Amino acid sequence: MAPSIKRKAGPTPVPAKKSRKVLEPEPESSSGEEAYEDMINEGDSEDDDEDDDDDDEEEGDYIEGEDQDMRSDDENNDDEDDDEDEQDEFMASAEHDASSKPRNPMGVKNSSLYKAPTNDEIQGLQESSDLFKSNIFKLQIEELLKEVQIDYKKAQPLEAALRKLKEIFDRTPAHQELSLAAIKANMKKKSVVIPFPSPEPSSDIQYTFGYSAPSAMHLVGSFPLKTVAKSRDGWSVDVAVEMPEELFQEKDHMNYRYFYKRAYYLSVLAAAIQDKKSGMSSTRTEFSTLDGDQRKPILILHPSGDKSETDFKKMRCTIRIIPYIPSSVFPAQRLAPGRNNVRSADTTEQVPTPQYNTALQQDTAFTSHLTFLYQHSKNCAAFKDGCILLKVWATQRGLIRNTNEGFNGFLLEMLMAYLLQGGGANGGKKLANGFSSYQLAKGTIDFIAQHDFTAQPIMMGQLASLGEFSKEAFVSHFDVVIVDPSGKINLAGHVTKAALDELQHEARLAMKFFTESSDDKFEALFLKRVDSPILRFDNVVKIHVPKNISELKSYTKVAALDYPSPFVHFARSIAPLLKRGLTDRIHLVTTRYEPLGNWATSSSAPDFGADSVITIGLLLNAAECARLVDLGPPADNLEAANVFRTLWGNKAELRRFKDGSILESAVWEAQGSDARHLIVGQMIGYLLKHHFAVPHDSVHYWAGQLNKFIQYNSKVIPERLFDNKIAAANGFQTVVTAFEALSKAVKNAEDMPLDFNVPATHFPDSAQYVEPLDVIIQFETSQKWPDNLKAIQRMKTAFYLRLADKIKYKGMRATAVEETADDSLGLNGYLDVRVAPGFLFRCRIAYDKEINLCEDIISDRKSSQSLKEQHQKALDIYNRHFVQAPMHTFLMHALAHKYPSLSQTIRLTKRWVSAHWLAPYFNDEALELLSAAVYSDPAPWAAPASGFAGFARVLSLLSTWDWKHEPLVVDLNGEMTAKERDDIRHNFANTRKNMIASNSASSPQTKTTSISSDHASMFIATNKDTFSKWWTWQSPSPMMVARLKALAKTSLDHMLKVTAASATTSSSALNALFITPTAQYDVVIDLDPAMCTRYAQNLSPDAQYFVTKGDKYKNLGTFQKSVFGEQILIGFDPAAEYLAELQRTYGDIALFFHDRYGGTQIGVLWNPNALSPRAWKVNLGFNSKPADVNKDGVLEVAKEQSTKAKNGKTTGGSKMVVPNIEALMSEIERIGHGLVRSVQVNRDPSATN
Amino acid sequence: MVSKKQKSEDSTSTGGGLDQISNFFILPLHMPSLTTTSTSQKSYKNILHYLYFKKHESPKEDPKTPKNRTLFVLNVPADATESHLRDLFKPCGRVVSVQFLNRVRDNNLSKEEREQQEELERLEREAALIEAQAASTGTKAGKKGGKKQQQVEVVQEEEHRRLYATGSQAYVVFLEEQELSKALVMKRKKRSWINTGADASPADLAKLTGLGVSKWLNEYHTRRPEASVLQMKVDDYMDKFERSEYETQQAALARHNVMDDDGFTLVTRAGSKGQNSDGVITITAAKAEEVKNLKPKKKELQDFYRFQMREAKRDKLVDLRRKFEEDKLRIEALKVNRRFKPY
Repeated sequence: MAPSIKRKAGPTPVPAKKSRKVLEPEPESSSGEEAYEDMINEGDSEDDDEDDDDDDEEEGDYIEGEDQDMRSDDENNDDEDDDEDEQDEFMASAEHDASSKPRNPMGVKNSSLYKAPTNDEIQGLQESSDLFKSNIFKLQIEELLKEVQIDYKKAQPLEAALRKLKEIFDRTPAHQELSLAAIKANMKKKSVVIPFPSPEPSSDIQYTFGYSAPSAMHLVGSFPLKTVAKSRDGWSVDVAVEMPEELFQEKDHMNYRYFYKRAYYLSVLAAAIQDKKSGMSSTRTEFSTLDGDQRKPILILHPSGDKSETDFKKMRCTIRIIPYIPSSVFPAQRLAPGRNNVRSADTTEQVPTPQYNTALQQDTAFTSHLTFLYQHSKNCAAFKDGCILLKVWATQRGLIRNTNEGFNGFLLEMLMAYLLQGGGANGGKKLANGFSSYQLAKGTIDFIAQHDFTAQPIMMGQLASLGEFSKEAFVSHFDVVIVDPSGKINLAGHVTKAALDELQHEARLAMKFFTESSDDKFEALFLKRVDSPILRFDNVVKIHVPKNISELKSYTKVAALDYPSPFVHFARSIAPLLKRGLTDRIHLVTTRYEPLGNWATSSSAPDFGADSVITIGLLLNAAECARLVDLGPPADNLEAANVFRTLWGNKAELRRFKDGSILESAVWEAQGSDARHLIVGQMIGYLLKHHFAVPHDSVHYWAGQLNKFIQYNSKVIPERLFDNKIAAANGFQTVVTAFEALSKAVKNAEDMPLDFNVPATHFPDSAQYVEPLDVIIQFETSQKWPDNLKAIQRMKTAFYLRLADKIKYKGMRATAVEETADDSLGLNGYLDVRVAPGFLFRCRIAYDKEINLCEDIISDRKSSQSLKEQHQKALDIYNRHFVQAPMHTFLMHALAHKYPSLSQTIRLTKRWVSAHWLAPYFNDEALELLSAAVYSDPAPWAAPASGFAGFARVLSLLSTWDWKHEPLVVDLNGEMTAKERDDIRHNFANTRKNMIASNSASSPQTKTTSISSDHASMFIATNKDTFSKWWTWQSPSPMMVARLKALAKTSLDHMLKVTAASATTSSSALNALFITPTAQYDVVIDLDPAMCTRYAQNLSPDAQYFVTKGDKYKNLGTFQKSVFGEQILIGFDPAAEYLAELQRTYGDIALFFHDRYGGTQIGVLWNPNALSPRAWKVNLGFNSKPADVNKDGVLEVAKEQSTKAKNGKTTGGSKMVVPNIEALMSEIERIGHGLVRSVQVNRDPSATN
Repeated sequence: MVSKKQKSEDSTSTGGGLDQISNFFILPLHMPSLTTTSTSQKSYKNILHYLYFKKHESPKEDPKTPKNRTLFVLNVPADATESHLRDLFKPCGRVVSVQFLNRVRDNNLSKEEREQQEELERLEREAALIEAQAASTGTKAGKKGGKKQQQVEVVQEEEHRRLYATGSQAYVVFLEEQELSKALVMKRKKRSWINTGADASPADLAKLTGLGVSKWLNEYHTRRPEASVLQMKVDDYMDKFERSEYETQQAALARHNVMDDDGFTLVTRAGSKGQNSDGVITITAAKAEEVKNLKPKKKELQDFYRFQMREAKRDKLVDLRRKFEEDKLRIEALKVNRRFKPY
């Protein structure tokens, strides 16, 4: 469909030549390309004539292809040029009529939209919506490609270096048949340690080693293909060096002989380069491994940096030298997957060594694979860009890593190339040559996501191979099978099933972002780095590898043949075991470890030591992961039962279940929902111990470490007050039960003769707080309500009284409350109902006609301004309580039901924000939306299934979000359309525009008096609230948002650092997340904990405030006597009252900070704007003192002034005043009489002035 | 500590008149020192607060603030009470009354609006006063037992201490004009707001009660009166409300279709909300919007004429173009804000 359009290029000639120069380097100008062709051809000797011919042909084609490419590019550029002109034009005119065009908030000029289109334009517009998802997507891809592509124009020094290398290798004298001892000695002289793979060759070997100049050298990999995507670690140019055939003997494929000879060859090359006479000795050389395979060392060349002609530092790359052999050296048959090529003295059995065989086979195929890819890149114009996109996507996810278990860029390229010739439905092609880069990358990802690699292994070759190279043979020896076009080599031989699972999981996620989302997910797909395990996975396990790993039962002698490193074998066997044990509790298990890295040529190859750490990432199945029992097979199925028993060891037991069945089962103990979500951790610990003898203390499970911050501190607080066990076991169920009881009582409020008495519990002051839960009562509509707002409030009170009377017989205590606040139009009263076992519901009656009454008055032209304001305020309050809050709760409830861990995330987020004393500035609802955003739009990850991960993601969101330029859209029910998102975007743009306008218009004076003058500095929009007016309109101020961002960043960094540390860190290391620095506040007010009724919620409460001193046993000790008397004070929190009073009274000149959850301190920051001296006036608005008064209250400077200014009109005396900080502090202390214990002054801002 | 106090007293009581700022006298007051644990540079022991005052001058004559007997005091501490100010100016003469002006918190209001709001507040206060009077007479006439309780409640409400905005204003009215002029020639001298030290008098301590925890606790309890008290309050209000409703209704009825002095009759509708009723059947008039919705929409043929198709095509193109333009602008904006570097 789409691709054909591009080919039918319109008849219009290509005019703008200039644009070509700007955007695409002209191939003629750079000698680079020809040089690569040279390099490819140069080394070709007689034995691959065919290849040579191919190349020549290709060269011709290539240029043609390039031309074509150019033309289509030109078309694109054309469009853009035109558009740019238009844009400029519009920019000029926009200033005139920006305001008059409300339909185009982006301000596109209308006349230009209506002009006659050219063919080109229609095509361009059509193309970007067909070939690319959207214009935006296309433009973003273009920008991205610019960033990751390399500049071939700078390649000259690199070429020079490559030529030089060839020269050096050719010059190196050949030698034959040296013994192992001789070559070791030779190399030692040149201070190169031969990187022999383990096991090292034994000293009694009979065969000999030799060297002669390479028979060929080829540039391979992504550099000649132009598919290089720069990555964080730079990029590399791969040079394949062909070892002459005569160095090898017939049996060299056996017992590592090939690999030993290869290692020697490499060390000769290394020595040659390092030789002082070589001319490149200043180049730093290192050994490394090819894709983490320890059998195959390679040589890495870093740029010398000496500014010589071979210094390729500007390319920011390394050269990798990879020795290989032509495929004709060993008969292919001998390396078939089922063959054994490593004999062992211990066993006569010839077990297949597929890993070994593949490692060798892959060394023969560099050039043929390159040719394969080259063919496709020649035929498919966008192939290169597609590859780059694909690789960027994979790199961001950490899917390309240098360990011998996963995918690499080459494999992904091969997959894409394969899909251009097959892999589609009914044997067709999945991708077409005319596809755009976006379609190619998306198609490949789609294939990865959909394809069943186990059932349908990929055979790239056209003909089905038989015998030892049949599909079945491959499947039986490898986890993942992707056989190259030759039909003999499994490209994915080293790839584990777990790595494939991970790739497929990411691919499925990516497809979701590509297709399902109505939002632009470009950033999530390509720009964000998402490989941090704590953010990516629900639970993360760190295993310190046991020292005696080589003695593990599972590492048999047979296994050792194919896996020379016990560590690698161990790492590969974890994921399958866990997958078997955890069954449907998890969606994904991944393992990863740090690759070995490079090593100096003068030292011996490193190995995975005892300090190695394996990181396991788990994605949980939220519905199943908290299950207590794992059911096995029935007892009479002996075979299956045996398997179950070997898996679970002592944990397996026979149990009879309710339905009468007798099953093998494993039962886990955990109380409460928080603990139950940690069962998976228990299981992993058990499995690792049982199967690999990994002791528990070397397994560190990151999941529940934050739970203690949202639970009462059971060590200090007497259990009688807060029964953690009950609360934990039932979760929120207890509240729900209590609420149901209440609603039942309210519904059938008939007189009941029974009287329950709620026993009056007596708490110490520091724990006397009962948090009210809001409830809304809605009556059926009736005409009998009065038409007057004030009267309605009284009517409500009457209802409360009646209701209180009715339900008191149902075991509930109800009190009607009347607010004494002066605003009598808003919520004037409510009904507090106490329900056993100790919940408090605050009921309010909703009557929707109040809205109309308010609106009538507001819209009435006759009503006065103040009356309007008053009613607007009442309306806001009404809307908030009876419209917005219920809607919010309803949506959040649904979301919390969908994602069980959401509530934990919300609790952690609230606690964290409050712990940093920011609670006064962030609505609970705003924090709930922030947490929900992480679930409703989890890109680039999947929705978290644990509070730990959820909280980390919230921190990550907060630390990266650009509130100034981006609205946060929270799609609570997943039904938001693209149009709604656009609307929100426009609303946001308007809000920000107004903000800037009002800021620049307002005089500096008004700025100082109101700190939060601009609205929605944290723009959070939902389906219902597209203006972000509900929860973040007034507060927080930009300053608070900035502070939250900074705190989130440090917190997240700390969290990542602690969890990434290889040593088993104590869980208390995370405590720092919830401790806020207090030194930055000007003043810190210390409150008396005994007076803080919420003190029990404090993060580290002191036991002395709960139990009288001297009592050893906290459960028996008597509670402290309460100064508040016997009765329970509902929602009474002196600290909060104090805070509110401070904000009311001093809100203009200071900011107050407090931890709502049992905090005993209040931080004060003086508004720096208010501190500067200003002219005295009557209505100043703060406690002031003359600027030039001395400490005894006598004006000093003023007297001089008055004498000087004799002819002035002033009668003498000062004119300027400053806030009287000391007197203010004294006032503040008096206002908090009884609560304030002391005041710490960190800084006196007036002193510095 | 004592010696220090002594010293400061010496230095401040050097005699002479008070300093001035823009015609206002500056009156330094000693405030209780802070209970601090650590201080940076300054000592928070000798804290001075500054009151500003002058003779009240106003073009309008207000019986509450008589012209030559009223002192206009500025920068009153937030915890000020009548007794604070009375004690402070006692040496000058007999203080008749103290009135606090709560500063209008919203600075953005224009002067006119502010005056309006002040007027509104005044009216409300008056209304409340009248209401209270009416209530007391009502209870006199009606229930017998209620009276006492109500009085108790009034007393309770008075006990509430109110905080003023920081730097607010007050009028202090003296009994005689000489007393005011005496205040205007006050000498420099040590004056304390409250003495919280060991030698604090009961009167000083009383100035602290009703602040802080006790204030909040008090408020908490007043919000939760006995059910019977609250019920009575509500009943009273509803009685009054219904009475006034009835009266306004009667008044409206009386005006209904009655010829006025000039011989004109203002025609008004009696029933509310467009309802006409004979007591049994109610007929409601249809609303304009509803009527609009009732009409079945004529179905227009979308692509019947050629011009329609052409226009549709053009509109589609325009849409595409506009989107493209917008997208490009967005990319520009993105480019400014965000790097496209993935790493």
